[in-house]
Amino acid sequence: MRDALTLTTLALAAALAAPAAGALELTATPAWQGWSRPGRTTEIELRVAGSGNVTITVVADRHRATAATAPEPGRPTRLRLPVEAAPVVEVAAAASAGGAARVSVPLALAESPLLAVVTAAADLHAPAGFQPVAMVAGDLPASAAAYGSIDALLIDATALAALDTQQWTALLGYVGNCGRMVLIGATDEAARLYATAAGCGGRAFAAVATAAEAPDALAGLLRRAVASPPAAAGLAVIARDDLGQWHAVVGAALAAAALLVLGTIFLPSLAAQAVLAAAAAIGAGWFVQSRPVESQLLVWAEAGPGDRLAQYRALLRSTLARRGDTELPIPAELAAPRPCRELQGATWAWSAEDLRYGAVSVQGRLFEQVSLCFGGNFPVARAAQWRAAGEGRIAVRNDGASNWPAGTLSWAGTLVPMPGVAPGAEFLADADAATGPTSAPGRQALARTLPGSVTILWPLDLGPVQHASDRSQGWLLLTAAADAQRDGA
Amino acid sequence: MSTRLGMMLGLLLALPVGAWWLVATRVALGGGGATAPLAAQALFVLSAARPMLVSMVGLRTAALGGFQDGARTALPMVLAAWPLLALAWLASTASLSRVLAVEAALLLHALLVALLGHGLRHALRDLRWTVPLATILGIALAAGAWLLAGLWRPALGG
Repeated sequence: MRDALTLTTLALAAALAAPAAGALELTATPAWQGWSRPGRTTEIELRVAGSGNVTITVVADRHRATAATAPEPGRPTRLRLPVEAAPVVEVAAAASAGGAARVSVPLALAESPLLAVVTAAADLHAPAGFQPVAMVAGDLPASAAAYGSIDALLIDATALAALDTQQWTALLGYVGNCGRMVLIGATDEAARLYATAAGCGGRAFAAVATAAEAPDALAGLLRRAVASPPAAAGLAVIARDDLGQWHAVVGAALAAAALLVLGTIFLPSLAAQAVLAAAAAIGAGWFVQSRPVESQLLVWAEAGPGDRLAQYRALLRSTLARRGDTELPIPAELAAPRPCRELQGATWAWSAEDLRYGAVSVQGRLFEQVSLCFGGNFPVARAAQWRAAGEGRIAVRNDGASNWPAGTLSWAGTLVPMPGVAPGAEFLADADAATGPTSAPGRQALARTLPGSVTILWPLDLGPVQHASDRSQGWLLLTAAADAQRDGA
Repeated sequence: MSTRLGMMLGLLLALPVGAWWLVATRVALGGGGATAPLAAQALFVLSAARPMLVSMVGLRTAALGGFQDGARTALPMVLAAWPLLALAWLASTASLSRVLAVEAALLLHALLVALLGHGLRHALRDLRWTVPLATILGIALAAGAWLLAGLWRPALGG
């Protein structure tokens, strides 16, 4: 099957003859040598040669993306777009000055977990159940989202040194997102850098001296549990109802009905009734169509004991009012955007300047809800430790360097309101002060707290996130480390 | 008086349909359900119930008062639902041209019903027979509209 796949597909515009100077040329190369898995994200690298403005369209199953570029004669431009994995990705380019090119990129979708092996060592034995795929540094993607194609990565220092800046940033993002990675033969400095950047307290990262040690190190990583936050789509349980558009429609309908009743009383002619009914219909429709999109952003982040990075999942739910083409901006601060459920007729607009999807266009209608899911990580400086304090109480100490804002302690199936705590100070939680969950985030915190552990829930400030409405909510759930030495004191 | 009667009857018909649609949509928004099928159902109910009402009331009014009275009663019954129709169309997947075509057909139906009532009035001349016959014919037309409504349901996304 592998032989049948052309991993680097060259498509020269449909012209049969040799291309003339300035003719549009399009080359598409998939990341991971074309390997991916169903439902995952991969990446396509596009090289466009020609002149003038060129519009590129990429279609992969239900995923449709567009990008605009302006190559100069003799200087092809390069774009690397994350796309949904599909058996075939169709890429088309059209120049404003005329000329078009089209190419099909076949992908190999594996059923088994994929192990990307980016090392020259030939005698590597992949753990059972994995499908190893040998790669070179150039096969690695430039976006962290495209690392969704693989399930583990073995990479050596030589390949690491060959990565360009975008690839390197993407790899750091993968490691930060708790992606499993074994680094082979790296210097202590490089290993320390990646260990520092690794999410989940480094439980998914290992550095070994030789390639022979890599399989055992990977097997060790697989034995470690890596907790992940709840799925972004599941965050709808903590969302508030989006009823702004509904209220507007009720208001418009009542106003129209009142207008018709008044018209019936004071202007009983048929012509006047027809004009009033048409005016009320157009007016109500126009009022509803002119309303802005109502969005609600929900972010749920979790950090384990000693974690430097919190893993987050986010849900951006937009309720539309406008019938027809509606453009939804994608917040730059949130990583790996994707539709939470199938989005018919959606087009994702790639921003070549920002190297991310900047907006998604959908064929909207009144009351339609479009949900976009995100996932990534951000650094946290908070650290907590807890110990039993006798008489059914526990003490939680602020082990970080900054003040804690007020939050909620989740412990033994109960919630305890917690005031702000200074660094080094303790908060004594009494079972008598415990309450049941009165809010959806509180219920979520209880559900996410393992038996025997203590977590603290804080609201997140979503102010810096663009396009986050006032109704948006963000939460950080931090698991406190158990103080073994002082436990039971 | 005929216009007022037609408009009030039209509003009384549109009101429960609109209330049902808005309440059902509210429930769907709260539970993450689809709202387009509800809008399609509202469009369909409006497109089926109005010709039934027009058939029963318009025919009888025209039989009693002539074509003008019939048209003045029947047409407002169709017009009264236009604001609700516009809002439901915005929430549906039905194409505008099909919704407009159904509305044009309903207006034509209202005029034809008025013409039929007018014809009955002139054909029978005896008021004792005109009113019951117009009522029976109106009910038959309404039943016909009920039975035939399934034909244009797919056009409205139902």
